[in-house]
Amino acid sequence: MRRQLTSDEVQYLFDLVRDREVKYIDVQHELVDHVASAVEEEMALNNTWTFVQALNVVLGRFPITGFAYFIQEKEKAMKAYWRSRQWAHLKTYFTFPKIMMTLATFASLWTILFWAPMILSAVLYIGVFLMSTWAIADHDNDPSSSKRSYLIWEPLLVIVPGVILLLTEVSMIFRLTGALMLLQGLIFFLVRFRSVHDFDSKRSLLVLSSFYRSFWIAGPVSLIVPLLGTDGKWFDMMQGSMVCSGLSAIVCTMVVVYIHAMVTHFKPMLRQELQQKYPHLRIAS
Amino acid sequence: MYICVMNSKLLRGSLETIVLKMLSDNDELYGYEITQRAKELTAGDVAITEGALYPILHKLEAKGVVSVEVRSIGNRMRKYYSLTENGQLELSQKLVEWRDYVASLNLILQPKLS
Repeated sequence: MRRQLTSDEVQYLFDLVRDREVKYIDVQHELVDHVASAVEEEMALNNTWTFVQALNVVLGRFPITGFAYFIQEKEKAMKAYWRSRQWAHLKTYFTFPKIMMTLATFASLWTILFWAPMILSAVLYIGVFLMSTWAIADHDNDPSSSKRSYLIWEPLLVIVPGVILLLTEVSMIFRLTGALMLLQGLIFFLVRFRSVHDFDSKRSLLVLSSFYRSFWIAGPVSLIVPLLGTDGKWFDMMQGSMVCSGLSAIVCTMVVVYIHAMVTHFKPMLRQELQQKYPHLRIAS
Repeated sequence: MYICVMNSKLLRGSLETIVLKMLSDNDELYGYEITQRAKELTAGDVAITEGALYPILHKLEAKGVVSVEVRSIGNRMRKYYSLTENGQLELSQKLVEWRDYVASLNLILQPKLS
């Protein structure tokens, strides 16, 4: 006789997967259903077995690493999903007014960059710094897992270029940037290990993975520019040069548009999409 | 007699195709059902482990190749997977690739075996 697991037993399984660091509700539901189905089957095959006996047999079939591998693969899959959806939404983002706004942003940035590159670059980096710090503080990761090596190497991605910039003989503006990045990385480091327990939905995962990109852009760019042989004189060259300030304005416009699209367009669209797909999850606005 | 559980390295490469094929033969399946079906169909020769199945399902879901519906069954939720139109295309491509691969492999291996 096949018996369904009781609510208490199902709750026990939920606690079990949560204890094993499965933080995404979607994966929790799926694993609980899988384990419950397997336990029911084992109990039907072996009449005398208790719930706990059957559960031990079922858990024995999972990899030694437990559920960590599922989470890792799930994150990879969700990042890929986020990338592909972003491209899809980008097409719907550029309506006529947005195109005009983009052009206007470009024109004003070009003008500003042409006249005052030093001041603007500082403002830009402080902006990136504040935005990303806010983003990480707001949507932090689960600090209790020790296996997550990216907790260490992602802050290092900001700290190392920051230190190099700070110590190299480049123009003042890059040393300032280096100092900011160093500070940014250290703060990043600290907030990652703060206790945050509300990180449980796909939404947070997606937001998190998208904001990391702001660091990845700032780090390599600041490293490459002084190495171009101009010894950090890019900003001096830009002063009064249509081409240099134009190119920089294109890059800055892309960054501004990307951030704007993310906040006003991608995130709401994605939230809506996920809510339709997973009606049983409450995806907070 | 062939070893009772197929070589896992060989299986891993074709797992995506197997999952897609099973989904195309059934309207919808859930994770546990897929592992059980695979065992039934091959009389136990193919054992898809949990560790391999779910990452693949999540990858296929992210790619838009399978769609997902979550329904409540009694006191828990169950996630059903079904093939999308993209999935059908992907499967037919994979089947063509697989046939070509088997044909070329036969050309190399068959003479030695006979």
